[in-house]
Amino acid sequence: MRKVAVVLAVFIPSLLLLFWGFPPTNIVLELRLPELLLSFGFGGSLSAAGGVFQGTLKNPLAEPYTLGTAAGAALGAAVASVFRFPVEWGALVGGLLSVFFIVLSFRVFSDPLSVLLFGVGLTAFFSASILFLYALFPVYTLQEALLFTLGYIMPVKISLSLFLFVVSLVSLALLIFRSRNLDLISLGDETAFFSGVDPKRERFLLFLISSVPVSLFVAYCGVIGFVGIVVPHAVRFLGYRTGKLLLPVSFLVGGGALSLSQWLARTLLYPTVLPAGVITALLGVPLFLYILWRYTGGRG
Amino acid sequence: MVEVRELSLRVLKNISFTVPEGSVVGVVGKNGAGKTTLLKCLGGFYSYSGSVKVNGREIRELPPEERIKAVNYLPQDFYHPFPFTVYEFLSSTTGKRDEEIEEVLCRLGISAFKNRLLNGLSGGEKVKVHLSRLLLIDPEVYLLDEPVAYLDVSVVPLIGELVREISKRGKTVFITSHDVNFLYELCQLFLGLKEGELRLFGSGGELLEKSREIFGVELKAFECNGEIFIKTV
Amino acid sequence: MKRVLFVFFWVVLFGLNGFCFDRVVSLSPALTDIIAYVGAEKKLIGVTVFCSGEVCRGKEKVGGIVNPNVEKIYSLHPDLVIATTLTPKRDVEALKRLGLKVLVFRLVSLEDVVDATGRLGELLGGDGAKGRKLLRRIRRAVLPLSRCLKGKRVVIVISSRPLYVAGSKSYLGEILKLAGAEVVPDTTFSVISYESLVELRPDTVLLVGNGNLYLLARFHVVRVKPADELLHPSPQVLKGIGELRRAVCGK
Repeated sequence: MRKVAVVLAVFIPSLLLLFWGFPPTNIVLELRLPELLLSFGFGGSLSAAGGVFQGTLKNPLAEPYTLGTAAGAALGAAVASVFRFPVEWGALVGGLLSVFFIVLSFRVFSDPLSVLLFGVGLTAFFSASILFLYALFPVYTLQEALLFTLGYIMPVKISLSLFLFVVSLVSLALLIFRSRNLDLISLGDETAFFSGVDPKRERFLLFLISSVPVSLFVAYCGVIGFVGIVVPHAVRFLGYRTGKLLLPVSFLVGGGALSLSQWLARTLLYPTVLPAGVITALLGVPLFLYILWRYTGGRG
Repeated sequence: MVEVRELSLRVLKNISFTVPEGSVVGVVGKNGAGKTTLLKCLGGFYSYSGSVKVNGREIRELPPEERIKAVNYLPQDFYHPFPFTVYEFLSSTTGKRDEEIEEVLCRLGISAFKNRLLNGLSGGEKVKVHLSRLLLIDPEVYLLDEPVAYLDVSVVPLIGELVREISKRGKTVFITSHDVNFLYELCQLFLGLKEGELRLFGSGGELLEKSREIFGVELKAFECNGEIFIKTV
Repeated sequence: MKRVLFVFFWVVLFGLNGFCFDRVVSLSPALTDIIAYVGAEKKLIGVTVFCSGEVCRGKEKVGGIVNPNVEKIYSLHPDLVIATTLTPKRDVEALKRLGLKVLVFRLVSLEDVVDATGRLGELLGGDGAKGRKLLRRIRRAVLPLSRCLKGKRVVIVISSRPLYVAGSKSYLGEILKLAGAEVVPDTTFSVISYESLVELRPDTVLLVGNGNLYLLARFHVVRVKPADELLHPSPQVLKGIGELRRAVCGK
C-alpha cells in the first residue's frame, strides 16, 4: 500500500509537469524535461538533505532552508554573479561555508532549538545580504532578486539540468552508502561512538555530501523551503525509518512534491508563473507547524 | 585487566588504578564527582591525558571495530527524536543477525518489543534495549552508566543477575549508580570519586568506612533475615 | 574573402527577413505602445498581463514582464518576440533555444525610446522614420512647457515610499530638460533618501503618479495625474506631456 503511495507520488506530479495540456514534442523536450529534472532533482536533494540534517543534529525541524544552507548558497551565487564568476562555484562556497557555521553552532549550543534559531538568524542575514548586494550592484532587477529568494524555477538548458540531476543522484548514492552512520548519529553521539562511528567527523561528512547538490540547485532556482522538512517526516510516518530506506524514499517523494508545486505554480494562475517556493511554503507551513507542535508540545 | 594511569580530563584529576579481569566495579560519588566522565574516558569517548589500557592495549589507539569489542558503554540519555523499532535499533548498531537479536531479547524478556518503536517505550524498557545492544557486542569491559535509575524494583534483581553472569564469563563490569544497596550487594570493588579525585579504591567495607568523605553522610550495613541493607546514619 | 562574402550574404538575408514579421509577442507594455504607435497592432498577438488598454483587447496574455510564460509564448507560434532588459536573460535564452527570434530593447533614455520606435517601425510597418518623427513631435509638445519650467530645478518623483526618482538621464528627465528645466539628480532611475531630496534643493517636485503628499509637504509639489502615460517609455509620453502641461502651467 505504502509502495503504491510512493510510486504515485513520483509519477503523478512528473506526468502532470511533463504532459499537462498535451504540448508539442519540442516543448516537452526543450522546456518541460529540463524543468522536471530541475524540480525533481532539487526537491529530492532538499528532502534527502532534510533527512540528513534532522538525523545528524537530532533536530526534527532541521533542513537546508531553516538552517541557512540554502540562503548561504544563494548569497554565494549572487556574489559570484556580481563579480562574473560561475554561479555554481559561488553557490558551493556559500553553501559549504554555512554548513561549517551550523556544525560549529551545534558544538557550541547542542540544544536543538538554539541551533534552529541560529539557522534562522543565518538565513535572515544571508537574505538581507543578497538584497543589499543587488542594491549595490544592480545586475538584476529587484523583482528578479525577489523571485530568486522565493525560489523561482526558470527554464535552463537540458544539458545543465541533466548535469544537476546526476549530481543529486551521486550525492544520494553516497548518502545511502553511509546511511547506517546517519542512523547511529541520530541515536546519539555516545551510541554512535560505541557502535564504531566517529560522530563528529561523520556528521560533517554527511552534511557536506548532502549540501553539495542543494547548493548547486539553489544557484539556478533560488531558495525553496519546507520540502526538506515535511517530506522526511511524512516518509518516516509511512514506515521508512532507517536511513537505507528513508533517504531514497525521501528523494523520490520530495522530487514528486516539488514537481507538483512547480506544476501548480505554472498552472494555478495561468499564464502567470509563480515562484515554486511560494507554493511549497503555502502547502508546507501548516505541516511544519504540525511537526513543531508534535515535537515540542508533545514531547513531555 | 583494566589499567588506568594518571588519567586527567575536565574534573578528573590524576586517576590511577588496576582492575583484574572478571571484576564487578561500582563507581560511586556525588552528582558532578566525575562518574560519567570516568566511564566515558574508559571507553575512549573523550580524548583524555594519561593512559587507559584494556588487556594491555591502549584504548585510544585501537581501531573502532576493535575498540567497541574491547569496551562498550550503556548511555544515560536515551532521547531519540526519530522513530526506530527495537529491531532496527539493534541491527543498525550491532550489525548482528536476526536470530542473535531474538535470542538476546528473549534473555531479557522483551521479545514482544521487537517491532515496537523505541520512543514509545518506558525508561526502564529503553535501558533493557540498550543492554541488549551491549550483550550482542559482548565486549571485554562493560561500562554501565546508571543502568537501574529508570527501572522499577521488580526488574533491578534481573539486572544484578545479568551482571553476575557477565562477570562469570571473565568480563569486567563498571557500574555507576546512586543505589548503594544495589552496588554493595553486586560489586567486589569500589571506586569512590570526590570532585574528580579518586578517594577510594577498595572493598565494600572500605566504602562504608570512607562514606562520610565521599558522600558527606555516614553509611552503615545492617543484616536482616540474612540480607544486608545499607542505611544512612 | 569567401568567408566575408558568406557572412555578408547571411546579413543581407536576415535583413530582408526583418520585413515580414506579422506574429509578434511583446513582453513589455511600453513596447506594446510603440507597436500601436507605428500602426502595427494587428501584427501583435501576445501581451503581458499588465496591459489593459485598447491595444491589448483580444490579445493573448503571456505572463508577466520578469516571469513570462515561455510555453505560452511558444504555443502562439510568433515570428518575433520583443522584450526589454527587464525580462531575465534566462527566459530570453530559453525562447531562443526554441527557435524564436527575440529582440531585446533597453528603454531608459529618450534616445532609447526613439531608436526602438524607429526600429520597430522599420521591422513591422516599413516606416523607419517614425522614430525621428516621434522625437520631433515630442520637441514640439514640450515647447509650451518651457514657459513654466525654464530654469527651474526639478526632481521627478515616481513613488514616495521608497523615494524613487527619475533623474536627468532618464527619458522623463530628458523631456523636462528639453523644456529648459534643470533636472536633478544626475542618474537614470534610482532610490534616494529624503535627506538627499532636501539637499538637492528643488524648486519643484514633480510627483508623477500616486504618492504620499504628506511626506513631501515641505516642497513645492506638482502632481501629475493620471500619470500612466508618462510612466511608459513609449510614444504614450506625448499624451503624458499634455497632462504634464495642464498640471504645471495650469488650465
